[in-house]
Amino acid sequence: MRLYLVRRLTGSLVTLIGVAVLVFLLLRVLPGDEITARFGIESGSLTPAQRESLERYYGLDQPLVVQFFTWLGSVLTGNFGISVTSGSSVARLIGRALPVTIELAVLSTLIGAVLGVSVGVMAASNPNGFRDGAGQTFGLLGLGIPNFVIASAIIAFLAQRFGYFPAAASYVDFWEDPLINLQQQLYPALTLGVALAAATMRTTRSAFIEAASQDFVRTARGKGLSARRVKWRHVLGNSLTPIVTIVGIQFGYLLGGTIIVEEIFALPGMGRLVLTGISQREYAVVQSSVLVIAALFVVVNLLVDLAYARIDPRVRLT
Amino acid sequence: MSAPVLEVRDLTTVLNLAQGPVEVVRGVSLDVGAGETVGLVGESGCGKTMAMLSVMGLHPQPPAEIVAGEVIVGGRDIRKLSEEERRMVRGAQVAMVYQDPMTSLNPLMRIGDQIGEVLVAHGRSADEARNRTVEILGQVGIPQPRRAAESYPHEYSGGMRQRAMIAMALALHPQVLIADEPTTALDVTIQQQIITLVTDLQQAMGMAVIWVTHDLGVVARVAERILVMYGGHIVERGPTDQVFRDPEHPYTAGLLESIPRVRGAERHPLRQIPGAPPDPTHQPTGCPFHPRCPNAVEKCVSEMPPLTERGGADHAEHWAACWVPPEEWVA
Ligand SMILES: Nc1ncnc2c1ncn2[C@@H]1O[C@H](COP(=O)(O)OP(=O)(O)OP(=O)(O)O)[C@@H](O)[C@H]1O
Ligand code: SF4
Ligand SMILES: [Mg+2]
Repeated sequence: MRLYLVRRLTGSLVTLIGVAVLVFLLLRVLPGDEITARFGIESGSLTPAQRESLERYYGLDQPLVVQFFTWLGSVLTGNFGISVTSGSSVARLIGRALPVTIELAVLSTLIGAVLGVSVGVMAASNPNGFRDGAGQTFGLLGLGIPNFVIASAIIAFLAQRFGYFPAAASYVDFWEDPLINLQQQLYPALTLGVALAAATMRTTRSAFIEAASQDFVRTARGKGLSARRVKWRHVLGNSLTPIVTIVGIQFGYLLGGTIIVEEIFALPGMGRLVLTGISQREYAVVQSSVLVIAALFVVVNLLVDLAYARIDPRVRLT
Repeated sequence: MSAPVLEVRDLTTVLNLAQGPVEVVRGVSLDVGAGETVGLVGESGCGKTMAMLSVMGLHPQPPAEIVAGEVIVGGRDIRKLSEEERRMVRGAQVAMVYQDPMTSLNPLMRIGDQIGEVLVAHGRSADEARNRTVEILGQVGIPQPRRAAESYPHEYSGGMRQRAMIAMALALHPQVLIADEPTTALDVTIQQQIITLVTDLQQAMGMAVIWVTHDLGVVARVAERILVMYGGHIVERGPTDQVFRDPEHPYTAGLLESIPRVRGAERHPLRQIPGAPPDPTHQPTGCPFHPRCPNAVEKCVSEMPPLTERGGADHAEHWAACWVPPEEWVA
């Protein structure tokens, strides 16, 4: 187990460093540099001398490696630079957007996992029966209908039934007013959750059917265990690895922000931050956001790896 | 024979396949007396496992389905019981050990938890279950039972896993143990150990054992009575020594001729029964053995011989399903 842990941690660390290098290089490869970013088209009218002194000021005259470590150092101390258009620090912008996204990701993943696993188990308990048909239809619809259609349907329903318009109010933080915050998060989370549930349901169903046909399930029934215990402990227990995989992927993906849903429900999350960053050519914002998102993704992957080891003792040997 | 602890009457199990229902267990009847050892033999695919799983109610559904018969345990037909009552019989009164110990244990659960689970499911407290688990692990010869209970199946060899399976089956002192080829997946030396272990535990606990195998040598060693199965039918049954000495069914005779005899003066050349057992989807008409039988007469092709008692003072309780008496056999 210790070896497994060390391996996964090292792997994560290497990935993180790779991500940092990539994000750093991406910015160097893109046309324009920080000077262009600061001065916009005016940078074209700088004299070579002005340019040179600016380059020295921003450290652009240093070798790439030095630049990388300087940048990494500032990033690690939480200094992501300043957003030119808004004038506030990038760290603050991310600090505001990230909790919105994490909350949405957690809620959507919870809804998706609970719904997906229950419908999946229900469908798999009697393959090709009526409930299986219903479950599979749900899976196809959930995967087939685009997010914005589900979102529009939810919004139309809310507006008609309760006269509630999610996009009308400005976003309220959880600690400001948990009830209003949850209300604002619930509908986008439902929108995302239904689509996630569809994929989770399909994974659960096939993993469950596969596990149910294993010899040890017959042993479990032969011991006189209740049908419930056989189902949840032995069959579902042995279906968990693929389920955790898909839920982990979904969660990691949601941490990158969900542009369409954030737009429709007026949530100031990471998706919007990156989108405005790109359209306003805010390199520092885009670069830092991508770095943070990638880092979180790596952490989620590590957690998934730990979950595997928790589920399956044989994994701990690898 | 003492009063039966398990009685099976005309058990018939079909497989519902695409081409329609196919009978794989065909009117099987058997009795098992308290503490007795019965050997169930037959070539691969003749329906031994399916018959035993049907007795336990563990036949894979779908495709398998019991269409007729009774399984009487403790005077009650368990097919007529509620699911909950049936559950209480399984594992407590009738228990089973399976062919493949590598796949029959849940890989994600500790051995001890898998044994304790049986006890808890049948009403024992968690404490009792823990103590009994360690005790039974010791009884099946697993060293350091306390530590073994904490281990996972993958930390065990095949032989040790089969011991754990036996511990699981015997934790509640069942009256009948069905051992479905518990040694075929194991090394020869381990096989002997497992056979000895089961016979020793049987002596100690007084349970009956149905020993399913295609190894007639094992049957000769452990079983008082033998049941020979072919094409889903029981074709011969009787006291082991009698059946071995005077087989009344050509299939049994063929099986006996195919075992190498090292001991004894009469060394006859090893003979295999020509051909293969019938594919259940293409059951022959009449006697299921007729395509392979050297003694077959015309009647064998059209009519299924009933299981009849063979006469004679030295043929007590000896039954066989064959139209042609041994005196008239050509081979
Ligand atoms: N799940 C299944 N689906 C379809 N056919 C099956 C299934 N299980 C068993 N059968 C068929 O049922 C017949 C009886 O099989 P069974 O396993 O009872 O034989 P067996 O006597 O136990 O053989 P062995 O000595 O190989 O264990 C065989 O023809 C087999 O192919
Ligand atoms: S009934 Fe006929 S075919 Fe069947 S075993 Fe007897 S002699 Fe052979
Ligand atoms: Mg078998």
